[in-house]
Amino acid sequence: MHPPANNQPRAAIDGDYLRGHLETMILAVLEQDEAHGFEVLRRLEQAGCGALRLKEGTLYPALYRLEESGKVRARWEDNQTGRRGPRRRIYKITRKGTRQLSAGREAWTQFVDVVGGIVIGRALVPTPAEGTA
Amino acid sequence: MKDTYEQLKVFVERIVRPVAASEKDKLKMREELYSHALDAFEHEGLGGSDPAVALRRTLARLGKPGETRAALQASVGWESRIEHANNRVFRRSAGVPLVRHAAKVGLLTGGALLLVEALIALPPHLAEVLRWNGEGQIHIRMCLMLGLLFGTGMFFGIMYSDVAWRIFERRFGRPGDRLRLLGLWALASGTYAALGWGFTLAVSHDPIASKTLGIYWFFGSGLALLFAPLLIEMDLRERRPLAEWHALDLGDSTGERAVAE
Repeated sequence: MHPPANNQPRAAIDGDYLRGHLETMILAVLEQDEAHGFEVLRRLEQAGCGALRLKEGTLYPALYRLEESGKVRARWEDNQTGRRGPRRRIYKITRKGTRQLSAGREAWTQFVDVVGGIVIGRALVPTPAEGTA
Repeated sequence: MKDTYEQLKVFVERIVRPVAASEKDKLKMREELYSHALDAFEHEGLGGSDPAVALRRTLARLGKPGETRAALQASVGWESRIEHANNRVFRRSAGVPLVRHAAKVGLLTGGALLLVEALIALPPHLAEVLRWNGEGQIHIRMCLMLGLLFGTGMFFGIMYSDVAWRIFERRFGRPGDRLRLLGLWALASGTYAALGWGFTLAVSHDPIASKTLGIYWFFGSGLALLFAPLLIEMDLRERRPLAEWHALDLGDSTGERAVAE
């Protein structure tokens, strides 16, 4: 994980912004290595440098959807030495998930190019002055 | 005052219990959310925070139970929803008397069989039924009888399986005892099937029809009941880990309040 370019505090990115991107972000995290839910969240928080504000309970529905659609595979943790409480499920990205992640990255890049260009202003063509058309 | 771990469990159970999904899926949700809550609680308490503060923060991190529940519900597949609907009919809820539950299942299944017969078995003989001649009366009588037998069978089956479940759970923990119980079950299944056949022969006036019906009944109910121990064993395996979750009292809304604050 890379730290931000500067140490300025970032504005929080909450659930409304994250909706629609959460599954791709989870796939990106799992592409690095398999992980259980809490670890996925920890990696997301670390990568988001504290700016991501995720309602943690909503992580699992996203994982279940990914599992249902075959993009991740899950297994119960075998060994939980030194830890009390119930078993954890370990999630691993599948080939289908990897393909979905590539498609998600392409779509995201295009989105940033197009929408970012408009929002930042660099893609906007200056309007001709009135009366000169 | 409930201890912290139980409060976390109650919070999780409040999210998961109303979700319309199979018990297997709901157990997965419970275990994962509880495991996550424990990790989060441990994380919140790392700096030596007051446990009450750490608990409040943990619950806030998990989000509003209603939102999480809705998101979980949206992730449930159709097979799981069907299993849940099936469980709602065939599994007795806490506080419902056994006889009432068995009667409900008997009426529903007997009625459903009558409906299926009316839609599938009767139309080819509709002319005879409408003329209300001897043959038409036999068809109607057979359909009613089959529905009645099936409904009654389900009623006694439910009563029987509940008693057997209790015996299985409390007394027959060792493998040898289980084998003995399986033998008893096979004997009971055979007796039940034979009684059904005898009943069919006794009440039907058409020997050919009653013989056919009797053979169907004998093999159908006999086979179904022979598989019953297997189904109960599977059901037990599913129910055992659920018991501690179902025993939780959700009356106290501490978790909901903590998140709302």
